[in-house]
Amino acid sequence: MENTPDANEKRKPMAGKRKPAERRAGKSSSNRRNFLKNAGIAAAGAFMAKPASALTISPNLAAQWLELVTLGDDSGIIYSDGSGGDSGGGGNGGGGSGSNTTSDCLCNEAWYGWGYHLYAEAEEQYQTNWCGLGVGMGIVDYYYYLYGNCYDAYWISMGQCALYKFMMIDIASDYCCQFAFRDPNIPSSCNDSQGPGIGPVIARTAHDNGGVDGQPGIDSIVSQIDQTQPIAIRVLWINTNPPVYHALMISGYYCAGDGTGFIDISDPWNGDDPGVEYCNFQQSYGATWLNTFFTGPSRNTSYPC
Amino acid sequence: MPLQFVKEYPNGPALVRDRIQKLPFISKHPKVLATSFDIERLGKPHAVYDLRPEDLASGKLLADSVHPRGQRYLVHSEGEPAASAEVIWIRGKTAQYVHINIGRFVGATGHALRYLEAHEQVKFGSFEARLLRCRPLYLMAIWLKSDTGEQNDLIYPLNGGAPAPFLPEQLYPVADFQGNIQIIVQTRQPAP
Repeated sequence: MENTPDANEKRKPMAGKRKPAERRAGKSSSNRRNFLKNAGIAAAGAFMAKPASALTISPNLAAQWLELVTLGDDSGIIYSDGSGGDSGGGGNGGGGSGSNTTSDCLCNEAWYGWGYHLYAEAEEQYQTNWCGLGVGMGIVDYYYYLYGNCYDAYWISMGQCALYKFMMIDIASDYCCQFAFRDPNIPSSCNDSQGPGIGPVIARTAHDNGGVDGQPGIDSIVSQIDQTQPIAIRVLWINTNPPVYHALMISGYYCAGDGTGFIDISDPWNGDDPGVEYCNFQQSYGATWLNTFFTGPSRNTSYPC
Repeated sequence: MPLQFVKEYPNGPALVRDRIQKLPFISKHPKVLATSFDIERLGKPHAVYDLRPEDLASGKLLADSVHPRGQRYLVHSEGEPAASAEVIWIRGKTAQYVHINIGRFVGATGHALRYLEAHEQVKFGSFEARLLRCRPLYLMAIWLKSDTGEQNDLIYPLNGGAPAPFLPEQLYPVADFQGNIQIIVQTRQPAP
């Protein structure tokens, strides 16, 4: 259920527990303008046109492309493995339905030699069970930089601990905000392993934009990233009993000349993993891909600044 | 005695160099594009083991509670670790993967190895440095495997990879490590 924070919530202090990186750039309008400038958003024609064989895209969409690289087959990258059959499959009873076939984990030919990376990254999860909050706040940060939405600004001002409070029905105060980064003495009530998952966090911050169970075909990833929309995923660590889940963000892709797809993953725990082979996600990451959450600009456009 | 390291896979360095060279082509990550990786000085890899915490908590030996995952190289840029490259071998398959990470544990590993190399407790023993990882518990540690039996092994959780009640950057004898893992496993709730 979506709860809009009231005025009182907005005034509640965040107890100053967000680390400097999370407060980066102060989120000022000048910084946002610089970000947009650096990202090439404002500069129409800053993208490089795709070859004639490429898909047709709208000028508006194309103008938002931050970076396109025309490597084509010149990159010399040939990856032989394309089996892809090990991804998904709902191992360990996780319920995933993401079995890949050779075709859907390989890139469409139109995208061979193309790559794109969004300036989006997960925040470091402040506590060990706050992976969903790290990814969710990273998505809020990203869209705020792009659009300057006031509802995003609200969540950024509150930080992970406040979002944790709002997501947990039995935590009604800022008590959990007093603990240091990955504090070994944090009580379990403030670091609940059944804490906020990435899906509810994205919905709570109004960035939910549909999704699918399991690992989708890479064309879905390409499509979302090309629309400048990072993707959140929920994975199950393999060989865990009881099952343990984790949240990740996908912030980029590259399609090699033989169709092998690569994705850039931003992990709120151990940082970024660039160039992960899409067909071999499970082996490479040691986790089963369970759910995919697409994101979009904040749906709450009327929140007062 | 200096820290010992696993004997590397014969084609490990070539695999890593190949992937690092191609990295700017397969990822447009700004940090990748901005970093000049020194692929000529890879150094020695450390073996990577994934911990099965339930097994250790049930009283099994540490050596019987881990799964060998591969070997991990620290790739430097301007003299400092800038990425880790993990060569992953899949049992029963010929496929080998190199997984690159540019996150917080790259520097933490380099720092830990330098620190442990000079540590009194380590200098006068004979240890193989390994990476011990349990991602479901958010544990990342250097496992100093003793030549003289598992009771002499030492575990050193990295900064950011020490779930309570562990403290980061402290040396734990294997018995204490096992005790803490038991605490974590017993108090852990099943996720929804």
